[in-house]
Amino acid sequence: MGVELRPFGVKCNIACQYCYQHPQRDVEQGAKPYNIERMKAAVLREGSGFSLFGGEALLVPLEDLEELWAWGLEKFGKNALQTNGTLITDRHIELFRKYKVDVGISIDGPGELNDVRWAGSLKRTRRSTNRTEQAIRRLCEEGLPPALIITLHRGNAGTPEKMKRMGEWMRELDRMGVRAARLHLMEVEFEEIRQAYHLSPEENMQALCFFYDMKDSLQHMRFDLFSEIEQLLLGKDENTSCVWNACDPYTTAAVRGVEGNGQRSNCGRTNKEGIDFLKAGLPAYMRYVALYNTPQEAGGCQGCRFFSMCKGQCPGTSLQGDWRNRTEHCEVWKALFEKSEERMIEAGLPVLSRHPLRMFVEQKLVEGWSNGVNSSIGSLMRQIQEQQQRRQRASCSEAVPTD
Amino acid sequence: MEKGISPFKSVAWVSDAVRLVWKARFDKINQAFVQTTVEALNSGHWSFRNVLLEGRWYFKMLALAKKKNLRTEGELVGNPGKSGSRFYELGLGFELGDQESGCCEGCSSNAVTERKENLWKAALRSEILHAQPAEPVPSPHTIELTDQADAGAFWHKMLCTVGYRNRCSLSCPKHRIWHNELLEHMQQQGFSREAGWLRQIHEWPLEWSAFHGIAELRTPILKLAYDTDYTPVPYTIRRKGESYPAEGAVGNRFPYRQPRFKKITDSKSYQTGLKYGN
Repeated sequence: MGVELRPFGVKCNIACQYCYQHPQRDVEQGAKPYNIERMKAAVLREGSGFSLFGGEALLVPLEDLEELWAWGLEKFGKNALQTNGTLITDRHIELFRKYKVDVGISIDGPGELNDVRWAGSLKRTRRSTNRTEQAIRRLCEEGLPPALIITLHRGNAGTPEKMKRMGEWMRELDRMGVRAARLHLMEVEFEEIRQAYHLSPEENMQALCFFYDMKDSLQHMRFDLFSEIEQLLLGKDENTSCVWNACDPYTTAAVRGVEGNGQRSNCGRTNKEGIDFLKAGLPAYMRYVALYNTPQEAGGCQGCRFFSMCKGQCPGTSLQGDWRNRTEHCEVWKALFEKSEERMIEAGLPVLSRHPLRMFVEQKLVEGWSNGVNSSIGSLMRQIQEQQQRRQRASCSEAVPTD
Repeated sequence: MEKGISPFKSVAWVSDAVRLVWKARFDKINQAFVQTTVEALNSGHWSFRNVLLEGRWYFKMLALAKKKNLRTEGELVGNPGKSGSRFYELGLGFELGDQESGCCEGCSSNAVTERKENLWKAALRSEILHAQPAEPVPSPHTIELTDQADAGAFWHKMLCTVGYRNRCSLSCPKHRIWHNELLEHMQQQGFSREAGWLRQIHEWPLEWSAFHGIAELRTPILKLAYDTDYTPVPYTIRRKGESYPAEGAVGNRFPYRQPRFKKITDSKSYQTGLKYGN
């Protein structure tokens, strides 16, 4: 992820029941007017391309979208968009093509399986879902297949019948040409949402296993969650998502938000108060030092062999909503790491979780965090390899007779 | 926790506008604090003062005290071997040997040197309004103090503070007197504006919590995280406050001002959706 440009903040045309931005909506009164020049200046200060984000990004009028994307293409060579897909028109599709916009669509399933992405009434919700499904199909037909974000909950994964339907839908999307789907476990902001929609760890695991087992039979579509876990187990974490990379909730390095007035903001997932706090001056990684040293029964990760890969996961999903705890989805991630670990060992692959260097990597990570440095596992592994090579060269040169 | 967390301090302001106004004010208050304290000692109004302050203000105060030939005794708070944000406890006066040795047995610079702070213990010995307030989740380790409790103890990572790191309680009468004297002297020395700001800050609501060795202070204008003593469960102290800054944030939990309009999650349409989504 890079810069998330949010012209209208969290304003949205639908109101998904579980949306992690509701704490902000509960506090913000109406959408603030945006200023394109201020947004551009703020994006330039961030120094990288942006993804148009929301709320719902396509609430921005077409002429302003065109101005932003034309500028984005000129400055960064590409554009990105995350949308619920309900407002996509032919004109938008023209702009996507013209300005090289990578489109990400959030949808949780076909038809009624998407009802939790609520639009005010059942009729409007079904109509919105239908529009999103049409948009996906249309984009695929146009050779612009979108990437999908799918959140798992009781509405789409709560029964074997729903899972079967999801499986059929995935195969259909695969045939249409959708190449990437990101599976999210539901982040809970309110207890009534937990009661209504949240899957138990076992149900979440069943759902993930279902997709894990179907992944190899899909022709185009990839679930990045599973490939990331495998990469993490191999110690190759450089291209993995922010949730695995020791995110500081005061600075959220992976998500650099720019609001409509040009103000910088953090990732909304860590925003539990509804306040768009400014980023702190420097990142601090003390959550991870604390988790490493805190017993699991107290909300930490002490002794977990997957710690260097998972790091207690996203602070936005922490137990009791307190970022100083590990993720409340710990059981699910642990089970998924175990499943992948088992398969990789069977395939003869070296996994970091069972590697003699694991403790060394953990200590180096903690040492770095204590000093404000967030090293990747990959860079630490390369350091170790280089050291070993130097030692080998040194011992070889010692063995060569000099006379 | 065996090794503890290295000293650190992360500050997140609620908005650009608030940071623009209040960051400068904090600097001015700290500047006024340093000058006022040294001047009050130099003019003989005070014989001795113990203060808590961050590195940059510590060195400013040392330099100023040296010019006035004041004697000083400073101590780094925390482990000298660790890098990170640094705070000091400093005693100043013409006669250090003649110092007030704390207001009572509980207040002193070296009462509990192995601990980083003793706010929870001090709070328990203070005037408590509610033990275990119900919002948001009742916890045996949450207390709400009366507004008589000294707010300065919570702000010590942002503002120079008069008194001791280890306090007998947050209702300590000596600390109250020292703080009031400081405000008076600030006014006398031409820092009325700064004294006014400091008075305001002390009237605001706040929530302090410590968990897993990390403390977090939430106030209407900023939140702040820093290293503290390890606890396996969260300890939370709230102070309701008597006033709220006009520019303070609106938020959905304590200590923030609540929104005046209906929440989206309370709306009829949202509640209707709960019947269908699953």
